[in-house]
Amino acid sequence: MTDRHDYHVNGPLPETPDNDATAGAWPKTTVIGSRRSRVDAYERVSGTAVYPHDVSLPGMLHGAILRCPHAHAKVLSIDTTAAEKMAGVHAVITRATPGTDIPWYERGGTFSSTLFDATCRYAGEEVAAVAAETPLQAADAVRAIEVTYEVLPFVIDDAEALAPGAPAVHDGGNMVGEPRLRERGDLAAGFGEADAVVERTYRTECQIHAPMEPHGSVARWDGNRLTVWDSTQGVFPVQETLARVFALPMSNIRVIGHYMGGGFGAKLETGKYTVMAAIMARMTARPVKIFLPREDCFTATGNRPANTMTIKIGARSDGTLTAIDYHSLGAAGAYAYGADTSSLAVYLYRCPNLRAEDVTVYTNAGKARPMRAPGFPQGAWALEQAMNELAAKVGIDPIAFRLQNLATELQSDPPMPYTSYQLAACLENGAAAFGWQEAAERRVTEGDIRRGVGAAACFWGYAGGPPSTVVVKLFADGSANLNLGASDIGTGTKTWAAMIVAEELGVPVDRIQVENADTATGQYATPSGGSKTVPSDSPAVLAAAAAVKRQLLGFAAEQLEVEPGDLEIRDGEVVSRSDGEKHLAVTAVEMLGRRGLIMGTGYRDPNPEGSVTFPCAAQFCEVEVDTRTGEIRILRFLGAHDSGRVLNRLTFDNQVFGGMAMGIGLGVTEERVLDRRTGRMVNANFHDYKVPTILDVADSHACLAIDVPDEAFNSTGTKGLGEPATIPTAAAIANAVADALGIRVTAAPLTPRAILEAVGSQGKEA
Amino acid sequence: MSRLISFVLNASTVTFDVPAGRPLLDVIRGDADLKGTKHACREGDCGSCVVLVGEPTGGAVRYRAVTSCLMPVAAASGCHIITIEGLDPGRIGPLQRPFVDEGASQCGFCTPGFLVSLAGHLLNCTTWDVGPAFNSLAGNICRCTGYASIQRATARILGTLRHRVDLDEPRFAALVREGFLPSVLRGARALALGLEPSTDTHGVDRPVAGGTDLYVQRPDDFSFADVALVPTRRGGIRIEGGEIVFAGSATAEDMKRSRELAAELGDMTGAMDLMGSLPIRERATIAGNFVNASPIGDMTAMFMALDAELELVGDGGRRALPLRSFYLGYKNLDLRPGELIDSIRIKRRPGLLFNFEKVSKRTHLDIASVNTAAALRLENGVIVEAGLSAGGVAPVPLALVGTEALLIGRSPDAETAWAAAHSAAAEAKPIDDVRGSAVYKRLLLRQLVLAHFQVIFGLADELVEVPA
Repeated sequence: MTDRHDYHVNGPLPETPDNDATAGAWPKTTVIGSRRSRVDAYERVSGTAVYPHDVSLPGMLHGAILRCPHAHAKVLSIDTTAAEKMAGVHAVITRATPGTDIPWYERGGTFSSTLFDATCRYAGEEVAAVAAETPLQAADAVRAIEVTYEVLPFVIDDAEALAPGAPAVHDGGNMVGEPRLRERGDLAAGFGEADAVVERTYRTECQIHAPMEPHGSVARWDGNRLTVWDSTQGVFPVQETLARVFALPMSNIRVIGHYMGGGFGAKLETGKYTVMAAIMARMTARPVKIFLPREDCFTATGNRPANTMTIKIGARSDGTLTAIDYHSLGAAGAYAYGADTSSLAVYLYRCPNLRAEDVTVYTNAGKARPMRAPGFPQGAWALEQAMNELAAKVGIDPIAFRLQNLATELQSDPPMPYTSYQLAACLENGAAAFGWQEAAERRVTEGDIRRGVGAAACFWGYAGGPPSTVVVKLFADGSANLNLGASDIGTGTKTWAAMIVAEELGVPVDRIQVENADTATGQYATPSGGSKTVPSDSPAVLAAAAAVKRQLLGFAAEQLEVEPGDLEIRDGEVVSRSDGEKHLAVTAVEMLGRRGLIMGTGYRDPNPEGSVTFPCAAQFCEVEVDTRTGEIRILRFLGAHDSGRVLNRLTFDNQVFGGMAMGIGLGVTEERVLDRRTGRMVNANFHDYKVPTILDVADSHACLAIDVPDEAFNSTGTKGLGEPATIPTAAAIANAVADALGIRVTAAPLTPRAILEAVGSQGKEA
Repeated sequence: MSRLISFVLNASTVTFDVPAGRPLLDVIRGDADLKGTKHACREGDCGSCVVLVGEPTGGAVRYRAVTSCLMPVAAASGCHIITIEGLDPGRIGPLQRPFVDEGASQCGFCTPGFLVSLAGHLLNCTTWDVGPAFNSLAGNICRCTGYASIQRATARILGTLRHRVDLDEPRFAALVREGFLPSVLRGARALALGLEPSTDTHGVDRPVAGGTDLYVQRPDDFSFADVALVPTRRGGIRIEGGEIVFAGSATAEDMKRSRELAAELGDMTGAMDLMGSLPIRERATIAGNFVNASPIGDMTAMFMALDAELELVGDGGRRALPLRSFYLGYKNLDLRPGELIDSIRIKRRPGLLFNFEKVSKRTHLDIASVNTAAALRLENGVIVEAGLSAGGVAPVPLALVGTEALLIGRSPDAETAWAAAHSAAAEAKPIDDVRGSAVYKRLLLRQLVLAHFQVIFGLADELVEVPA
């Protein structure tokens, strides 16, 4: 069983209750847009923040999971006798255990597996679980379980998965659904008009989310009420899944995720481990904690799929694009997922003639999951390199070439306007701030150490929407409590939310207590992911604060004998705009004192109809390439980002730099390596899987926020940032490396080996 | 069995009745219930579990940042252990403030490890420049920030201390004075100095020194064991007549810091910084690197080029063995049951020119695809002594004896460099594996041998073109 949604709300938007009051756009802001450190800063730097990984309860047992070592196998028998007799072992569960026949991996309303499937479709699939007094006892017991497998032929290569006679991952062939085909215009005619055409096949490798906090949960039953501490991006979907699994009212399930150590998409779904912990906790009447070892986090919690993308793109000699033919093949892994990458090719540039096809296949490997801008960094890797190559062919500067061809509306049928779309500013202002021309002139294309510049552009095809509910309470002493459902996955959700309340109510940020991510005490929010938390939840925060303000000013107006519309809040005082003599400290509003508090509820309004909203960005970098060793040094990076209004400039900049590092990983250092003989991941640890370190990122970082509020989209004028921060990065590096070397390395990651081999073959050609 | 193990934990002395081999991490998070120290890999690769281990020696305490997941608690006996809670002054202090102001904590899970690693750097650094500070943070992985904010925060801290603390004054006291360490730690440090130097660390089950490989490869064999500590950092590196003598338990950081070694072989900082991360180098021993028998051990390659001799001690007494004879096949050593490498000796050769090169997917915190070391000596402009090794190109660490012979009597010019590079590539017997194809590794070795000549002899332009 998987959750109803990842971070998209599927189907029609839910009915949104009317807001009590709708705040107007701020004419000028004092808190919003400033650089604010986090409201929970002390907890973070003192080690006192309690993550789910830190939760330890009296009597708590520790769980461990037995995983299939084969890429494809039938489970013939499981003997748990020895494991059950081991010291400290309290529970062993397998597919034979009553209550474990839980459907899992849903797509399109059907489930393709169960909690413990009789067929294991990748090396790492769950076969059994144990709860014991200590983690090592649980691990020992897992090793003592004897499983007889019938080992089946497997396929791990995406291209081979479609070959005739390839082992079938599921009945019915290895294609996941139908290919997604998007077409417009006349492709042949488009290429006929072209004076220049480039065509290449690009490849990105499988990237792992690798958040620092491992995946895991602690489950505790009180009678038929279940409390779960979960390292999750969204507590509500976990609540919903657990309620269904255990056939309990949602009100009996409490999921808490106050702190969580990163997710990047891997913690959007309910984990099997959560359900296993809850099952064993019920069996033993003891709390059970399951946190996955790092190896399992690498193999079994999702990934960004590898993609092979062939793009053919043509332009007239004046630089006008005439045709794009795009084909993408991606591997879902063992369970259904759409490994599509074509959206940038379809929409980023104005091109009347287009054919874009996305094919996704099953393989006997860990399942893909949404990972920070699913499909987009891969698509940018192909499209943005092709754009550079084509620009060179028609003799136009790559920035100018992009500007010339930018789509200014969504090329749907019929076309739709963007609410606000500042990609031209990202490219132009970004290039100016980066010093694009000067950097290009510093290019070094000979000698051992080459130097080049590169850029890439993008949009991100999602901007959030309802539902979201937020409650703000103003206490009699003028301090406030803010209650929202969203998880703060490291992006600073709690802080910008407090800043909005501070801006609207004039309460200092340090007098606002934020509660979040608790299904029992919190309001409803969809999971934090897809760069949608700010644009989905910030309008609800504003509406809640505005509802408090409307009531407060109403009470004050009676007391001051003025119209409420004449009042505003300034430095803790309610002040009449027309008569400066009439003012009142907020704490002196009688009704506030008599009631004890004023509560405001805010809901996210529906998105506007007939338009579409995308955040967008352009990134620029300068690199050095050592042609003797193949090593790349990234000298500097600049990200120019349109994410609508900037709420917190500090976290905005840092989010951009974090996205760049993940893009450096995709482009330069990271790749999942599967053993072709066994199908197992051979680099499932932080030593062999290369997450960039402090020495691998750019020597210098800059962020240019375009900061144009998208007022047509929502009341705060905000769009998201997390995904666009990482979409163009790898492509920009690839363009810079190609600029330095004069040759294009089409397959990521650009490891020393890849560079050295390319340089070597260049020597041969010369 | 368990033992009573005492140490100073942050501000007070603690005693735990635990197996000597239990990882310090588990004692801190479990027995001591301090959850600020995180762990995200238990393999020493992520830095979330870094703590400071202060070892009293001769009236001083030297604090090292180590990954607590790989350290047996017995090794903490008699030491001063500082965790993130120990660095917390109960408010946002001067160490933490720049991290807060720069937003250097996003999801926050890595933050304690970064702050502790940084505190370790501040206690030991010999310059306030940012470069070495970033190096000392290279063992800490952050997946959120992209490190820019951490770099800014670190630069601010160093900038403050540059003006307030003299590099020569007693560092611990200075950092307490400036508020970068809570003042309560001063008394705790004194407590540690007053502890009896621990002798009760010699268990019976199995020996462990740094543990940085053993605890990754066989954690279950050690976590419950009454481990016998091979004391690290005792003996160190010294000159004995015509030889440089290394204790088998000397660590990679000992090599980096040794003035004696630098005087003989030149500054080792660059070479050693390529090996693992600081918290690993602080614990990883030379002997451990040898007996781990990785075909690509960095220190193994270095000592092979230096033609080191091992002194092995076991039940049968002492025996000497050239390192070059130690490797019989893949992970197969000339090491008898119960034998330990007691010391390692290399001949002092005035004028010896030493260089180490390695390339990996990521420059730091990585196992090399290929590594190589060169030790050359010239007389009258020609090479009279040549040691050349390569790792990652054969089932065992390889001494490139054919290339060594080829070099003797030649002048160190481009022609010689190319001849050596081709010869080395021909001598290598690499296989295709996760670190690269055989063709690639051969190519890499050739380039790295050229790099030796570039670095040692300053050849540069001459090596650009491939001669026909």
